[in-house]
Amino acid sequence: MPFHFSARLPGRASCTILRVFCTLVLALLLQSISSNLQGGHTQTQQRERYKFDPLTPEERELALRLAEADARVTKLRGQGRQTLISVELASPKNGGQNDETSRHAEVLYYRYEGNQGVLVLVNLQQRSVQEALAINGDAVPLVAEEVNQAVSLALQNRTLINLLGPNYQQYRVATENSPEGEPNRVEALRLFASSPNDPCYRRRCVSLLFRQGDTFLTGTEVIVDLTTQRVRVEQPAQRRPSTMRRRGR
Amino acid sequence: MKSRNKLTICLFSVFAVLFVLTQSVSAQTQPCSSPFFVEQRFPVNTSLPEETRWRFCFQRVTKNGLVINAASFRKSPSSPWVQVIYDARVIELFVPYHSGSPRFLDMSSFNFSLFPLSTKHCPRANGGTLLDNNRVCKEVHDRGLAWTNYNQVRRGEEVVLWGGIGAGNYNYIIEWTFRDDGVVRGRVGATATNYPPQPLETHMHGIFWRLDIDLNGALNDSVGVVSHSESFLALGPTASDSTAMVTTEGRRQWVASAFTNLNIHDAGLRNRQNHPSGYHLIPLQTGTPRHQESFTKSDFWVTRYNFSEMHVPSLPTYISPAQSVSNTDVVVWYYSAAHHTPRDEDGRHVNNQFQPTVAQVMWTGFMLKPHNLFDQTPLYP
Repeated sequence: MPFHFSARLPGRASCTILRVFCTLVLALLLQSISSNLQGGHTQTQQRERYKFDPLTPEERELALRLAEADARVTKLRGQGRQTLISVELASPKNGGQNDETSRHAEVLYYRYEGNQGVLVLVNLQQRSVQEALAINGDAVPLVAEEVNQAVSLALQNRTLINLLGPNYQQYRVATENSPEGEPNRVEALRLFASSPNDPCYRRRCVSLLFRQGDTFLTGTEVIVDLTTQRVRVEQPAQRRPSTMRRRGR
Repeated sequence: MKSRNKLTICLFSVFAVLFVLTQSVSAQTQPCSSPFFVEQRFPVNTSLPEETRWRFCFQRVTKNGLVINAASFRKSPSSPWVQVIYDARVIELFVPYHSGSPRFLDMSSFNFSLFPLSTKHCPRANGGTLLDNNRVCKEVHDRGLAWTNYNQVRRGEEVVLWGGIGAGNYNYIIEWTFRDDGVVRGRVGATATNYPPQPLETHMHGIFWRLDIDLNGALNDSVGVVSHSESFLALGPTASDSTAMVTTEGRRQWVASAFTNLNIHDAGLRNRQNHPSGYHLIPLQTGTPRHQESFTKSDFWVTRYNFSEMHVPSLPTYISPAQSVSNTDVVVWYYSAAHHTPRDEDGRHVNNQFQPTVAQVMWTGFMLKPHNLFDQTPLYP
């Protein structure tokens, strides 16, 4: 139709209009192609991951690699014993235009020395550590490996072995995947101490509950200090007035 | 000459349409992909004309369970989307027992995660669909009576997402509801079994929510505390309502007799009546939980957005020194609890011993209710 329409126009005028139109459309197309290419490039790198999609295994691995290579993180983690707690998707707002499409991960470590957490924010698109912070160690959750370690330390304690009897090695940490009715289970409670006189003050301590069927090992408190890797098995008579608070499971 | 003008208009119209199309496509950046992206139109019945629509993302976060991101609401098919939530999550479960011990901090102490659900949890007959490896249930259903005026009646609809955290002997159901009238409801239900070593000891299930509400975008949000007060003088008005702005980071109390609620609003968001649009955070609670811990001494906290502030026991340090929270990116924290008095209905008595087996769900939560977001009533019979 436009051709038929333009055929009735004086040639030079229609030619100018068409030229302007074509230039504008071309500019628009170029802009669109360019932004698609940019987006496409990002999406290829991120395998079409959007801001709030879960991290892929590759992204986790990348986040961890970047965190561990960063000098600020190395300094915060120190030389002592540490545990990797988690690598999770993060969605910080930076106030920039890229907020809507950015991909971030949060790597969390626990440093036993000084009861400190190290929170690392990794920008996956820029492949860089955006921020590395020391946080309160009490804000760092226990992970299954630590509970397993606590149980394995506790099961080397002679007093506890005597209390549990000959089947002491059958105790397993209770998890959401534990078989229904598993006979010998161990549950862990996180301990926080409020007094500097308490051995668990600013340390990572757990109290272990040993359960045989529906019966708990009573009259005994099993406390594992994961910071010093010491186990205390206390009978009520031995227990001093406690300033400890049990928190967590 | 006329023909040339027509051609010019025609070609530039084509250009304008192309321009608008390319720009709108680039502006609608999707925040997440399937199955983490939920978009729900209301009414659900597609043979009826569309009225309102929600879209949001969910993610399964170790420790925090079911988290809602980038929730936007469209009040009519011809209206623009309005962002409501950037990130809404349960941030802590604090469970102190009456004797003083234990005092569980279930989210900051452990990396608990959502447990698998079955079709018994999430029946199709109730509009249920299992998502994300069966960790999340989405239910779309009738929500009961929305309005009636004698013979005129309107029922409402909603989309509900929920999942359960396995926290040792307890399960915590984290539920998010998005209604056809723009309301968002957050609830947590405590269930499973009483704490076996102390199955008959009364305790509190304290829930903290961290609500990063980005109404109409991250910036320019402010919070007001809305209170009702009654006058007992013989003369003059008998009651009044007031709003006190929260200008700097701080904590506020919920007062039952004042019907305290928070009004979160954006400086640039108004409806067609030119009234400022906002969302009211309305507690749905049966009491005021207070304990020795400083972080339990208030029901509401308002902080300036900081990605690393995620630890409830540290809340008192987050508000000191207090930064301005006027016309900025604010985060609202809300604390509510279910008081659990053990009862025979929580278990069975076998050989004169109480075995805790069935603690039925006890709920607590809040509602985010639009205020002057619509231009007029959104619901007609």
